[in-house]
Amino acid sequence: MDPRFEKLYKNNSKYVYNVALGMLRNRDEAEDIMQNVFIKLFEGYSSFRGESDIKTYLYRMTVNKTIDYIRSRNLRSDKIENMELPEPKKTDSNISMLDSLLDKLNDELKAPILLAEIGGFSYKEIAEIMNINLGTVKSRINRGIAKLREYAEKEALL
Amino acid sequence: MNCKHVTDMLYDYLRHEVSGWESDAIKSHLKTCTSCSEELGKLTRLRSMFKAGLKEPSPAILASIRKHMPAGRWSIFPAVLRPAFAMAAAIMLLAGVFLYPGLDRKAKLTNALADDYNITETAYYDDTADAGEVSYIYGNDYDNEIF
Repeated sequence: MDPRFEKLYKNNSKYVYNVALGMLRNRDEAEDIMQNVFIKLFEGYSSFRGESDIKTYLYRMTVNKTIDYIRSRNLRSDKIENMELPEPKKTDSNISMLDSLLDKLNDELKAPILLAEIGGFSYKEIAEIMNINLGTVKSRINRGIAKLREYAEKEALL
Repeated sequence: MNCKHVTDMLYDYLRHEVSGWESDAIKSHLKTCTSCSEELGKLTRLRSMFKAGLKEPSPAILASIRKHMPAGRWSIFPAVLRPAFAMAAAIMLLAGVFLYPGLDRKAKLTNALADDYNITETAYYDDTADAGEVSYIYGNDYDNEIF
């Protein structure tokens, strides 16, 4: 494999994986998403204009694919419920307290917070990744953080 | 700034997403306000939970990605720039094809004239002369001549 791709993978895979994991709370699913995103990245590499372009694409793909996956998972579990079958999809049992706090947020609030805290992106970069305006990013992050802070205090984590 | 304003902006402040004057105002408020300083501590602890909770993906993922990928290197030039490079190369090639015979003919003519008239100074072919007429001008006297 191209050494530049190896380097890109080494520098970003952990963060991409944790953004997906933060939203999905399931290691296998997060690894599937990450694998697909990196394969897609390799296939489309020639259309990128530079390192920041690649990083934006990586995280945009991660967030979009994760949200799509959650939607299809919810649809599947709805169908299963309608068919009155047991055992809906379980989430990873080995989750941290933070994961259980994040689980209380919807994806709209969770994604920008994960991009900010795990990806280390600025609000402006998050707006670009999520294709939303800067004001929306700021408002979603502040609402999400206020909720997390409130839940964490209730759980005596702060 | 009062406590409400400060607490509303604390997370943005921690992430350096506030303006210079807002940052200064928050900093000076925090020096004197215990409750806002405590709030800052809580947000800092909340943020540290994200970094502490990071998990490593399985090493098997990279091996699996390798299997899906074709061997070889990525191109040096991104695809968006490739047409530009191709166009530049084509223009240079065409320019070479069309200009070379003209340049070669001028050089031969100049050299022939120099031989005929036994001229040792640098001579330039004068394009502005009438058709069929050959004129040349001496370099030392016409350094600024553009042709």
